[in-house]
Amino acid sequence: MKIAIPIWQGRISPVMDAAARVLAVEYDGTCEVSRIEESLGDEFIPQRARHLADLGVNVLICGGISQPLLTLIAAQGITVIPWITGPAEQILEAYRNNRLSHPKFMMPGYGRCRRGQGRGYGQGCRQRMGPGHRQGRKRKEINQDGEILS
Amino acid sequence: MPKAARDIILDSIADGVFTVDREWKITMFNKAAEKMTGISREDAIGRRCCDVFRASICETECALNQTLQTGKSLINREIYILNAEGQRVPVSISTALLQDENGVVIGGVETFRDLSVIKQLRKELKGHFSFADIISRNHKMQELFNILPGIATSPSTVLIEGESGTGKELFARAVHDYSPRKSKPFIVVNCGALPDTLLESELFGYRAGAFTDAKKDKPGRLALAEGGTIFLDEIGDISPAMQVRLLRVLQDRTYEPLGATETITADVRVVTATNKDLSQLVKDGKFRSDLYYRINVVRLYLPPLRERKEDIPLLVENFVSRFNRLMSKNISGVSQQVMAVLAAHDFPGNIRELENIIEHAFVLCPGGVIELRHLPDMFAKAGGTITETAASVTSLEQMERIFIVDALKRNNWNRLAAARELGIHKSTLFRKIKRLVIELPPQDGRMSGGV
Repeated sequence: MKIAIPIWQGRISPVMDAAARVLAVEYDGTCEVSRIEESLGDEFIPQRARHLADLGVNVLICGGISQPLLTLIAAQGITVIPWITGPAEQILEAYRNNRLSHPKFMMPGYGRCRRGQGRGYGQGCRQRMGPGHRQGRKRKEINQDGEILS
Repeated sequence: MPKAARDIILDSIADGVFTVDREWKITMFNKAAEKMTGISREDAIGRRCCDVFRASICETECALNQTLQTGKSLINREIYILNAEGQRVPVSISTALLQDENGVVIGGVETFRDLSVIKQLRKELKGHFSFADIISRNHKMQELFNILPGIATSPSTVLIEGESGTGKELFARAVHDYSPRKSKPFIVVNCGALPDTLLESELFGYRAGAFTDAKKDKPGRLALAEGGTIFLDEIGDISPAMQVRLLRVLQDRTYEPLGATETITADVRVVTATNKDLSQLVKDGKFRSDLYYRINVVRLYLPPLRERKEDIPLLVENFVSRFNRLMSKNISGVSQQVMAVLAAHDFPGNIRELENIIEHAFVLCPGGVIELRHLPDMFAKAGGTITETAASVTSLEQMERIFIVDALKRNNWNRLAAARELGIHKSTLFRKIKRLVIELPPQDGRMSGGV
């Protein structure tokens, strides 16, 4: 599984639409197998979505994101977890340990953000459980279309 | 001044105001700021300003940072912020230093003004909508989005085909906006709207004395587009004589204004569009084949709205938000019945028709949710005959069923093709077919040698 985070000064970029760089980390189970940081430059919106797909990203964890960009990225089959804030490494760690829903990682106005972008077909803006989540409560399986399978 | 009095003053002004300390934490957030960002004061205070304000320039050119470093105020810079609904809100910002009574800098203050209405009106006046206005999750549109950057950066002539109202001009503008010519003009010529003689003088310009009323030189649209892009809309409507003249421009990049003796070289990229089947016109002898092959270097086909019905909810949301700004209303959306009727409609007028329906509803709907009675009479009457089930739909599940059945029918019941069109995985579609109990015909697209 490859997870991407738009990155700025070691933290998640506040605005995905304007983010200059992206960090992509690949995991095999719980082990990190590769890590790459790339420039997103001045790419126009559909190209940003395409760039992430070309990187083989499965999950994008980002801060603020506009509705058109979220739609385009989700249409590439990438699960988007938006409106997250904090240091990139802590976010990766929290995702893998299924702790990303902690209030400290939520951008201000998080509830409204989710309501605003979670309608319609709901594609791409549901949270997928992290690869480190193996015990505890029964987890929900959510596919790339945001559909709850079990 | 007491804090309470200061807060009352700040809350009474229409501009958003917030202050930060030296660690970029929000220390004050007024009512207008709450409204524009969609974030409450309680949520904002103590948080990093970039997490609250979410401006396009936070990473690269933070205005407050510049002010704190240079001590100079910044006035009326236009940027956009992301509100809590994920909408880009254009704002004009100004910044200043915040000092205590001893003149020690304790932070910064930023004021911002919502430019949404002004920008929207400007767009309406100029008809200048951007690529961000094209919203789609349809797989054919996604493919277009994917190839568009490559097309934009190439110098090739582009032919955009699609029915009226599918957004051909938006795509033409996107080709220009993302090309190396973006800083130069983008000139639109509607070939179908002008008689031949007028089109000739409009396109090529004329010299003084070329005809009776030609008192002075007039540059043509080709000259105005120099260095940029000329968009020739409805190219299929031009006369055979005009086709010859245009062919020369495309072949040699040269032309002569009416009455001129010298030949002018044009450095212009040509993007054309038509709602007609040009290849058929060529076969019928109504369009020159040499011109057709000149303009058909890169061809883009925009699918009609009836082939991308999954985009209707997104488009409706977009139009509702736009008309709310334009008409100063606060309409939250459309009812499920309205959405179902829209989903069942074939939209011969495509997105423009949908836009007109929503605009009509905005005139009649005072607030709240757009209901069936707010739709155009003709449309509402037709709504009953389009599909009885559609009008009586009461759940999202039923709407989903309509979308899926429509997509399956369009794809000759080929499930893989339908899943692609809907932008979902095939197994998701299979599950939905099962869950929604959609009956499939015994023979389908797979059996007839489909995908």
